[in-house]
Amino acid sequence: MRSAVWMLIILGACTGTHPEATNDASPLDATWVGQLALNPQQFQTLLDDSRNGWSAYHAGELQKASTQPGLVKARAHRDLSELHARLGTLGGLAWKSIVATWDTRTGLPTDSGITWFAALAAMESGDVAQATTWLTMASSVDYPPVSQAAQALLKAGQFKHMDFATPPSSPLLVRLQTHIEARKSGDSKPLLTEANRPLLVETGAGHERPFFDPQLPWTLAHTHATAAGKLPSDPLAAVIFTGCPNGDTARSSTLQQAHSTAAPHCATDALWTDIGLDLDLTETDDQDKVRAFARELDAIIDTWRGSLLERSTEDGRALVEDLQLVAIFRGRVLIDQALRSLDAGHPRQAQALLQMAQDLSQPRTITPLNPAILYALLAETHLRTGHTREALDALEILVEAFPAAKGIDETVGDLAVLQGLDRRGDSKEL
Amino acid sequence: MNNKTLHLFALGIALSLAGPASGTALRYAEDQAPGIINPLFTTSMSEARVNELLFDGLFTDDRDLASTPALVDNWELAEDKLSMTLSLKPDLYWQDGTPLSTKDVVFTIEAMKNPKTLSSEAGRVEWIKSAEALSSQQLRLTFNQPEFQPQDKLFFKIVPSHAFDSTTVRRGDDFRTKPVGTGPYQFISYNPDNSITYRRNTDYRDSVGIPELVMREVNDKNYQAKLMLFESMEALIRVLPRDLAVLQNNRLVELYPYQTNSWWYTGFNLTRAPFNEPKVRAALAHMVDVEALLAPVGTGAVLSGPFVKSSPYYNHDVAPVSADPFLAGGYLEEAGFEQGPDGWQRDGEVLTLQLSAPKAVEDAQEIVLNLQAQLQQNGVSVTVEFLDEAEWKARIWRNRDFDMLLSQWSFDRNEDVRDQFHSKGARNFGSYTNEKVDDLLDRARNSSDPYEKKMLLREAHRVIHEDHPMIFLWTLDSYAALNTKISQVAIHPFYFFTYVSSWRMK
Repeated sequence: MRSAVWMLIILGACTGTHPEATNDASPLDATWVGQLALNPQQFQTLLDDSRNGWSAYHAGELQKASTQPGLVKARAHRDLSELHARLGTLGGLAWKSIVATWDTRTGLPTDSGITWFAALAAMESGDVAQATTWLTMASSVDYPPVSQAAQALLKAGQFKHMDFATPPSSPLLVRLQTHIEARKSGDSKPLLTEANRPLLVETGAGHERPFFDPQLPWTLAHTHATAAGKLPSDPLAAVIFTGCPNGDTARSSTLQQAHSTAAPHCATDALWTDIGLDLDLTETDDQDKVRAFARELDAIIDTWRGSLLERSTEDGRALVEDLQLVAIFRGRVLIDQALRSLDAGHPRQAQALLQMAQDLSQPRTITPLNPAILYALLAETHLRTGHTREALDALEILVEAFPAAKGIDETVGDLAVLQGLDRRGDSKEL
Repeated sequence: MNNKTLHLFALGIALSLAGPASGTALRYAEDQAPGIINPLFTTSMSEARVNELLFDGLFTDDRDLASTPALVDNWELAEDKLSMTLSLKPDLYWQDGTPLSTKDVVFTIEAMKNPKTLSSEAGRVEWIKSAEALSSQQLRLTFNQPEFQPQDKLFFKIVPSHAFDSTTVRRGDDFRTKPVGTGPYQFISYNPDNSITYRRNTDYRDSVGIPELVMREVNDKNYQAKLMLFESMEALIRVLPRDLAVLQNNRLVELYPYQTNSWWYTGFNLTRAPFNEPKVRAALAHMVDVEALLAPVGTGAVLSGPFVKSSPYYNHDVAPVSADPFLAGGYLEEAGFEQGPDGWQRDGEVLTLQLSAPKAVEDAQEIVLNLQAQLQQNGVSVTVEFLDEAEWKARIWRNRDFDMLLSQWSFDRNEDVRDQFHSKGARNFGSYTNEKVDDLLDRARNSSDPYEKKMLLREAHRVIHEDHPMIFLWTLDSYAALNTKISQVAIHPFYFFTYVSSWRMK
């Protein structure tokens, strides 16, 4: 079905014509949506680049798009890098909370490698001091595979400085070596084949404690960032299906940013000023403020959409309607604002924006309107606001599509269980 | 009268019934009105939501879902963790002006524990060995075993001792018509149109933003959505997935997702033949096309056991039961049934069952009729009955008088299914018994290790699935719809109205 739509679009785009200029012109016409509606033949450039790739990218099938030729490959890798960096951040938050909650409640178990995994998550998240504290604890646990690995890592300081001249004996150090090699080579396949299995299953407590690899999303963020390289130089290819209005406002992608919790944002402030939107979202973590912003944005976009379609050719209208371009742009704008709110320390505000960005006709699926990053960010906002169990609802959607999400899902699940150990559950009918 | 006229006529009636049109009242719709207002006898979500409006617990959830004091001022856990001393906040009053004291707390715990009370909430205090008032402000709780964070379990609502004669509380006591609490709202009236009016408690410990709430029972989901779109209702508690897109596209409506871990099921009465036979239950389970039952309701996730799919306890190695008439027939033949002119029969008796469902829930009626059709197509004779609230409580909750029922369980974030599947569970309507499941659930409840608890409950999921005490159906996402004139909205994922005092209305 989707292929058929894309085939029709190809045929239409080939015959596109320039529309007449009218007095209804809006600053939003300068966005990629406006440009495509008014000049649909531009779309042909993309289709010539990689029809299957852009079709997959539009549908949110990032893995597939990343294997296609052409400019779309860089976009898909960049999105995958951002997604995994966000999942890595989520894992770091979860591990931090697991250790703190367990320690407060009963003290940490002395025969477990919990602090090893928490230390790696902290190290990847950039909290070296915390990582060192936990590594020190791990170095003295009564469990040799963990204590030996922790001692070796403490000696090296950073895992990337470790010397593997002698093949390591601990499976934990073997995995560290695999991560280092994957980041050097850009080949993450050896890690992905292990993604659905725990890295370590402890049995000392009389039952199993499976631990998943907290470094996996970070290594994937790294390898995808390397594969993405720079953004496509073609302005349309750089911004289509994003919340960035045009090529001048596109986000850059660098290796460093894949390792940063502060994601780069679109430079959109000038456009919002032009259309009369108040963008000052960062004073307080006030959900009502962003809900009002989104409603205002919707009103402006609704009016513009009507005008745009009137001024478009038949091909332009078909392109906008069939591919839901206005709705995609709107959703991505809200997601981008949610990133800003998160980075400003306002998770509730970010959550409201993400909820308003979500297309509720298919609320539990990755679709053109509900990209994977939406669910990763939703999970993060839930975790940051104490709603751990709700974070699992968002993660569940990612698990099937992204192997690296399995370990994060299990880890956040462990935290949810831990936080509820002293609760007496309640249940009611209907 | 053509269809369109008929439709508008019906909608007009619905709008006229939507409760008082008041600029200061928030009108909200429930599928089913609370059957009783008394926290000791709460069984349904609509009753739990009313409790949140009218009553307080010793502790509650803050916005980040951490335990925070409600009626309590301060507390101290004994070193051996076998008792705690609590002091109540000063100057707290019941809505009738009587001062609240520790006597009320002790009374509530003793009334819930009193076997003659038959409290549906007794399980929430069974871990408390005793409660003793040390003064009007200070009390001591002792526990059956060490408790690390007992405040996490002290969320049950406190009722006024002066409203009852003894700790043997009865459902029919006058309190149900004149409930008095310490919560943000106070009960005003049951109205002739089956709505209930609540007014803000001006003595509440926080300022309460919205002056009045009106709960209206509207069991037709289509009308609920229309009432919202016509601004004859300010809030819908639960929007069906099929209505989400329409409401999302309306600029006067905000949708708020919240999480009740809830799932639909059809449960068997295992004390009745032939539903006490695992092969018969397995056969009936394989006759049901769950996806087809779900289609009219909207999108949802089909389940294989007693947890929702995103739960840490859901066992993803267990697949949902598939519709397979051939397999179903095989199970029945193994159980001694054979195909006859009137369907499956054994010893001259046709396989017959009565399917019971709550009357007030519109979706239940559609599901029941489709389920009846599916089973009858597979050679089972099915009669259906729709029970009103009182009949349901009497027949299902008290007398366990049914063959097969359709209902929905909602769980808070702890997803404790012990009440439903333990042989001693208070909500185990079907009298399901499996020693292994009992052991798994007991160990899970007492476990101090999250990894152990997770594995135990995943194993319980597997065993329960194989026993077919229920046909597990689906889970739906929960969204509330509120008019945009309501601001500062925060919704508790289970109790909904926990933070209602902060809501404001333009």
